[in-house]
Amino acid sequence: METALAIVQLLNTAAPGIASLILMVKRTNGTVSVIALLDEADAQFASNIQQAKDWLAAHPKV
Amino acid sequence: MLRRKLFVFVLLVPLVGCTDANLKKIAQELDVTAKTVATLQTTVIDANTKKLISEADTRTILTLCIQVSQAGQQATAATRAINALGPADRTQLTAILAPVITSVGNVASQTIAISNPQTAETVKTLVLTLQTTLNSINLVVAGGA
Repeated sequence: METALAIVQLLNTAAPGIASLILMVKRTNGTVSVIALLDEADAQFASNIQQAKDWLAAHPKV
Repeated sequence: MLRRKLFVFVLLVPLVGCTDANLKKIAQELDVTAKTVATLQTTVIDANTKKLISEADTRTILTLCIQVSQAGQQATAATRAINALGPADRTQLTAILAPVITSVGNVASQTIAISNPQTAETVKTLVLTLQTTLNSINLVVAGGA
């Protein structure tokens, strides 16, 4: 897995878009890779934290 | 050149899928957790804007959401770093998850005063969903699923 991803990263540097193409194919296929799921979750968690912090900053405790 | 690229591509597609089933389950549940938190906090912020929930209750839920999301980020980082779930990884993930499971449980048992019954029900359901997904991850980590 690690090796495969390292190769994908190398390939992505050489031919941009190929890694996302692989993930897109897997998604269309109904089998999403662990890394794709973790990336998605990670981005969502970051967005959640930002949204919640923004609200808390705009509504300080009195 | 194109044929060589195509060959590598065909070779890599199955390789990327080779992973521990437990890790896949954890990743799926983390993804659901992230989306549930997003829906929960959007619902609560919206309810607060409409004056359906107090500032204090909104703050309580959003603070919980931050805690869950931060733990989620730690869990994704820990999961990303491994190929198969070993004893040390289980210990690490349990340490990350246990405090937030307790916090979600505390909020779930609290009565959040939301004047609109439909919004109250939605918030309650989302908190329970959060509790379920976190417990599912914990179950996999503990080796029970």
